[in-house]
Amino acid sequence: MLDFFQPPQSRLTKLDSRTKLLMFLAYAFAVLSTKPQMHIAWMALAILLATMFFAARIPIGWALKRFVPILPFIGLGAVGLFFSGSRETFVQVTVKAVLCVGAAIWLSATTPFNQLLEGLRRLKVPTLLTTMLSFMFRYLFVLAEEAIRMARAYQSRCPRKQTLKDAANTGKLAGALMLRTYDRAERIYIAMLSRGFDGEFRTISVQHMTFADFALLFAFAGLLVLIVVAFR
Amino acid sequence: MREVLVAALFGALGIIVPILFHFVGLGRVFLPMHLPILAAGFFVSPLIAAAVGFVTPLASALLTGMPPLPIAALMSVELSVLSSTASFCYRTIGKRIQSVGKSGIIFSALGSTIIAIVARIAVDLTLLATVVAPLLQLPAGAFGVAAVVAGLPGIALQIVVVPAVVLAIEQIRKERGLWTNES
Repeated sequence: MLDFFQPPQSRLTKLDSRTKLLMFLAYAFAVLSTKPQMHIAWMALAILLATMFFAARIPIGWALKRFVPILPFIGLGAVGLFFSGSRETFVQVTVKAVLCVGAAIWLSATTPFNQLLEGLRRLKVPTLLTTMLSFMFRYLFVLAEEAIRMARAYQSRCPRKQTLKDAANTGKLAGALMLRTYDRAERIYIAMLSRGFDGEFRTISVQHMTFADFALLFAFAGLLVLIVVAFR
Repeated sequence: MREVLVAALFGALGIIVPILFHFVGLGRVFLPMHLPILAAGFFVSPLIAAAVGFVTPLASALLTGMPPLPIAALMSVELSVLSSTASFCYRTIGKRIQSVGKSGIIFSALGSTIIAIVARIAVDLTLLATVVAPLLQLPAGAFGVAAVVAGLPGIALQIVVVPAVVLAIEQIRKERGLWTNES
């Protein structure tokens, strides 16, 4: 689930992370601002997204592998609308969710998470949030490994199909994981203090907004405005 | 700095625990992301608790794709209220009760958990009634009740697990004498 994809280098992946982040936000905003029954606009936005995937040379198989597990979540949210009789709303919610998720997959495939954080810092997002995200990403894999080890140990001792009755055990497992996490946080903090960490990440950034970044950003934004306005 | 670190690690758990629940075949009715975020509220200040509640669903949406982005945006508000309310209650209301000892900690942790869950449900219903239901043209009442009922097993799990975890961590804090609210 948490496999991170290093996409083949393309011109799009070499762009500044701020450009891609702003492109993603603009796309999501354009999708959400479309009104019901704007089918042609949705189709145009879908074609634009497909072009973005193609330009970034993201393999279709990989994108589908990431997209398929999310479908039940979208489906569960929308299926109630279908049965409540509002088919228009059902279509609207499903299409918008699919396009937004697709854009998020594009962003995560073209921009490594640490570059994304660097982009957020440069976009003047509060330091508290970016520092928290940095730590979160740094220790995600360490904690994931521990969680998987615990889950595997539980399954090897209880190798039957899990039922609702097992929720209590899983809850205890999550509780034990939280205790271990707290313990680890304490150790990390002491280690950081001993290394003189003052809360600021100092990185040598190689990212710069060039003319190409600005040109692409403005062209992309113009295209989105055109799609939303023209197919209204 | 210390609090940011604790919050971040619990935030990372907020991404991992839902995967753990899916790994053992239990679905989202148990609100797995809520567990670590609520627990984090007991060990950090309300501001940092709100921040971790805000970023975790968005980071999870970007890294694992779950929850989908529009739902993640709603969950950001919901979880920041959940975590910051727990933090606020535990730090202010619970301060006097905690001096009683172990039972005081249990009582204040349980009370703070329940108040935080009630606040979260209130915000959830307000969001559903004012934003989601009009947007989807659905009856707000039925939609809200369905959302709350679907999360009942998760609420029960939170009430059982979180105070126990808080008690255990408070004991670790006491034994080591390092991580107290005052220090």
